[in-house]
Amino acid sequence: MNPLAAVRRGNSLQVLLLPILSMLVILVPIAVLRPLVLKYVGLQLLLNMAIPLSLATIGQMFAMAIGEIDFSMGNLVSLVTCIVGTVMSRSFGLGLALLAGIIVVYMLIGAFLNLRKLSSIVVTIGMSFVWTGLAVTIQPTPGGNVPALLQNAVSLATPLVPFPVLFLVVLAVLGHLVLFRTNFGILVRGIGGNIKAVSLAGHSIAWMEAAVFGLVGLLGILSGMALAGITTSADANVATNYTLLSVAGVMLGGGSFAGGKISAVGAVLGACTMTLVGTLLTFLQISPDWQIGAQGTILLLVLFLSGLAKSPGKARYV
Amino acid sequence: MDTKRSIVELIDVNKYFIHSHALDNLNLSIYEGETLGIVGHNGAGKSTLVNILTGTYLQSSGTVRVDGKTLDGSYDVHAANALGIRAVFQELSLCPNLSVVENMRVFHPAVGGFGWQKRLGAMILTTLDRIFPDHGIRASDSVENLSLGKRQMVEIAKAFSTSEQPLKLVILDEPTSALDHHTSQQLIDYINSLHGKSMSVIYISHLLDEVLASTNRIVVLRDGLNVGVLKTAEASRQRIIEFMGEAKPLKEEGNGSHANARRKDDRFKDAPFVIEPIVDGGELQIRVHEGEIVGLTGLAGHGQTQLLLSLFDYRHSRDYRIRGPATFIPGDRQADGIFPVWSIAKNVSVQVYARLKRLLLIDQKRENAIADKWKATIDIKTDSVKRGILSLSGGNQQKVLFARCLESASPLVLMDDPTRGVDVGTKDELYKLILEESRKGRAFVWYTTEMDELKYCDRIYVFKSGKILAELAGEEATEEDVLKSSF
Repeated sequence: MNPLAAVRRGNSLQVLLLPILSMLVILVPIAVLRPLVLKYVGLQLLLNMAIPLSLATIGQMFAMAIGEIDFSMGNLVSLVTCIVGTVMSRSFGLGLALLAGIIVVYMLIGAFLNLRKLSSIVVTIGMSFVWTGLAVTIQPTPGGNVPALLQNAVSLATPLVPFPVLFLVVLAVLGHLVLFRTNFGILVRGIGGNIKAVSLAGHSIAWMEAAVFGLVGLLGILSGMALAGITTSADANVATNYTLLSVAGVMLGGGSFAGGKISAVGAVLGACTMTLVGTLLTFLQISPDWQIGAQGTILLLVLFLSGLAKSPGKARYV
Repeated sequence: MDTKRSIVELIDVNKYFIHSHALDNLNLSIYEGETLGIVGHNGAGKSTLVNILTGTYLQSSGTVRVDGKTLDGSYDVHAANALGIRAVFQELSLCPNLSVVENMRVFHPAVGGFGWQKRLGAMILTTLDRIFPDHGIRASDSVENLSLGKRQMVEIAKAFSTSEQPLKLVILDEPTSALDHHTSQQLIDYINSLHGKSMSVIYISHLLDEVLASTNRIVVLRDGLNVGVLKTAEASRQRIIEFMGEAKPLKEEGNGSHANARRKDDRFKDAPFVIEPIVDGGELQIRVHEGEIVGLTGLAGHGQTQLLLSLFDYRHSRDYRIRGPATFIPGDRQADGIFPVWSIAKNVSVQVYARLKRLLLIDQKRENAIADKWKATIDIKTDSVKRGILSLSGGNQQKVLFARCLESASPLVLMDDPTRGVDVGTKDELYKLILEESRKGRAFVWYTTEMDELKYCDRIYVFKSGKILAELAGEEATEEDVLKSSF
């Protein structure tokens, strides 16, 4: 069956064809090159880094679901590793207060985007400098001391199925339930589809955007904690490419900039694919200098493909 | 009839917008259990009335009473909903990416908890079954996969389905615009079955036959005034049209000395064509001669702007041989006309930059000279043309757009309701300018939503559903003729 036609028809299972196919395109060569990755330990190593990235991607997905975007995601995740690795090990209370403060700032951003009719691209790019500035102040050079609790949490030895796989499945299912089964999720997607209809039905758009951005901040924080647990260090620049990767993950998973069109399962699959791309490029012995460029090329390819899959726009009615 | 209770009462309601007086001391009562038809030409105030009842606009003055209670400034969309007032708007208000039942959830957030999908699905399907038997819509269907007609059916059913408070008033604004004949009839039958029950319906439509078939009373609006209330049983198409426009000729004796002297035949018969149909015969097509002013009319959005845009793309027109280039004066100047950060002079001369070039650069002296010339001829009210365009009032901005188009050498000027939101004094100046330019041989194609402007036209084409329905000679046409052809 033609996968593009399937996406056009919009059946929820068929929508996942493109993300599944693109993940296989990356996973199969990896498995051929290194058959051991399909074993328990191999999968654990392979998909460990997908845990923080998929959390950031799900966060980005919520922002994009209402037609906004968070260009400070990577900087936020980096900042959180610094807060967890440096501030929290000295004063747990201060660290917690900082994390709570981030969520409040995110909610304010969400409300202001709506009330002041601001563009989220501009506001979040501005915020990205704030987050990185804070992170460099806290932890000028990589280092720190990540609590053992976090380190253990991301390397749990689960029976039969490796922890990262389990985590990704649970995250995808949870995200799906929130988007498609809860009132909140329906309103989020409704705002992306026709914001006027939602506001005419009597919902406060400012509150909704504040809630969505609060959730984006929360998922960014969780992503930073997971990343700190895996890398065991605080680094103000460790995750700057998460901004690009999270957007790419959402689009790879069938989401779109236009808003409303969104899939949590797809976003998690997309995050996995973006993680695997890095691994594959390493296995192919492509130098890290070229990897970011290669990831960018893959993103362009995805945009091109998803553009093909979309039905042509309607003519303006005059 | 007199013992009936009013559900909604409007007393001396006025609504002003920046450039218009949309409702003029409107008085209206809607009785319990009746279906009230509202008819009127574009801009008669129908949409404004709906927006006031649904809490989107607040009236400028006057009193609105619902169930005997006077509404105050806090009345808004939520309050209207709580009172049981619903509306189906012309533009659809569904989220296309959600399923039918999810759209219901957006609309009825109170229905939650376990099994909401089943309950809301049953609610919408029951209503759909009641209004449109054999509709063929499933609650899980994604709205974007439904045809426009089915979306409209869902929209209507959504408005008629209730969860908690009983419905008091449902407003249908052009509800059948996307429905076919069969489903339109189903809707009319359903509305007729509601007569005498506790719910009232307001039915707004340009299709007079539908209004006559479904209502108890008909209110005719004209220019924001309630010009007549008819009992449907005693009404007819003819009588409604008489109320909507007086049977006065568009060109009155002594009014517009400029126009009266023109005789369509002897003046334009021998003039060369500017727009000529490629294939003659078949559907009615427009033809425009040099120096002629041709008016396009009919209800708004029935293909006039589309025609203008296709004429503007004169090289690729498949239906017409057009002597270009054409120049275009848009009605929505904020969106399609002015360059907001540029000066007046640059806004005037942007179409003729090729003429202003000296070597590769633009000669600013000549640019300013052109703008100053137009400032003097059409009295653009500013002390210097170097000021920003936004320093001008709306009417003067529109003059700048006229100056821009008339400065070009185009033999054909297309105008898309160019005097929208312009004050009366400025309008008269613009009319004079159009007539002067046409005498010099320029041809104008003028889409207007104002009946008064048709008196300046030598020929009038009436549009409906994207087609030209009638061709009227300017001096013979009456407002009634135009209305008759457009309904």
